[in-house]
Amino acid sequence: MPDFSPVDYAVPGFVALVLLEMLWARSKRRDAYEPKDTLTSLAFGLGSTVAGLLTGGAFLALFLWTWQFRLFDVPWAWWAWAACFVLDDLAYYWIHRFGHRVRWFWASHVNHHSSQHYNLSTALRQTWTGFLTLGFAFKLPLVLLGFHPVMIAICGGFNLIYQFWIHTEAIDRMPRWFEAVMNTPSHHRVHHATNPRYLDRNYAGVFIVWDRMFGTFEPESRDEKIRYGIVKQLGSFNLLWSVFHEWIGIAQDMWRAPWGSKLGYLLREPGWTHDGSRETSDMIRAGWMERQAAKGNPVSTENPIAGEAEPA
Amino acid sequence: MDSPALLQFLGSLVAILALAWTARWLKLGPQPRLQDEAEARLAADEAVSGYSPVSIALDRDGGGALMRDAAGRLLLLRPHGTHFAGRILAAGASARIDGDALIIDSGERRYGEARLTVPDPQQWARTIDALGTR
Repeated sequence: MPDFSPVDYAVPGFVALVLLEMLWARSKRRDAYEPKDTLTSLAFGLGSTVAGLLTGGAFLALFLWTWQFRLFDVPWAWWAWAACFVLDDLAYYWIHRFGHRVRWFWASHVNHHSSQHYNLSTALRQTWTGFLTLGFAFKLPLVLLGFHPVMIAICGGFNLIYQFWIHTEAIDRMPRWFEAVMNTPSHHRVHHATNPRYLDRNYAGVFIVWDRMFGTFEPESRDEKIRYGIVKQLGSFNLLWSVFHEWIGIAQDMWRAPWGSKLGYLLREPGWTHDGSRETSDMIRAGWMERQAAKGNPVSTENPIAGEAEPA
Repeated sequence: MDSPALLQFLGSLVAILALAWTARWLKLGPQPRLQDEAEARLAADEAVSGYSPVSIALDRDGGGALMRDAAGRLLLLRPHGTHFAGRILAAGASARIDGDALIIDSGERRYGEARLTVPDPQQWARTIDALGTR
């Protein structure tokens, strides 16, 4: 059983590339970085590694315990690594989609989105509270299939490393064949955008094909400037508030809500309220589309968001 | 934490402080400015999708704006890093005059206050204070 964490080896590369991107920002886009935002994002990254150290053992133990009930004995063969990487990425897609569509999961994942910047430091803006969600459950089918938990963890590490470089505005588009299959800076900029047309799109980790398959793909438009962050921007660089604000919001909402609606604030999508006083991403998009139509500028029917079979 | 983990933590802490310092040293992150009402409208729509102001009070130096839409909703825009962060003001908001500036307290602790130099600050202050009586 190998004892190997690919992310540990990648950290010096992360630091070097952030420095390189800062130099690019200095010559091309000074507003691409903001020192306080950078410090907050990187502090998120540091805290998430501590949280991982404190809770990772428990999850590995759970996965190893589950592994005894596996259906097959998947060997440590090259094809098994390839299969594990692809299936782990499929699991990631669904974890990520739930991370945006269920407020309980969003309370953790929002940390990655709460910067109004999109640069390589944003990639390291990782949650401290992932262990409080059920994201790990999406990987249990791989364990039950027979993939060793360590193999899954290593594939997950490489998945995370891949996702680092796509958090940048310094790269415009990759070659067409690459954009068709892989997640890229262009696709992931859409994911981090708060423009109504882009909300809750492009959940992919490594392979964008999952979004194309499951109806959540949205290409980046050259006609619309992207703005990043969350629908209600934090307006604060306070680290602890940035980490816990959505958990606090859930607690406050559940406390104030009538009994029949309390669970909705945990299990429904972000923005849902029992009295309709806030907007979900679907409501924001629907309002925007109405306004576009009223301006005589309807969203193209070729655009997936105008389709009827959009699972969102 | 064992010793290697502690060393890794301290090394990472030094690295992130160095990176943040480098961003500052390179003078990244300019203050945002709203040049005119058109930019304020755009920023308002970015802050609250569909928000369409009928009245705009733009800060003299472009460092924010206060606006009202047809439904009477007041939107405050103030700088946050190199961008703007907006809030629809609610009953907890308050305002006061300080010299020629209007100080607006959003009532939201972490979002805090904004200081705007706008035309007719008394009228805006009265409008904000009236939110609590609605």
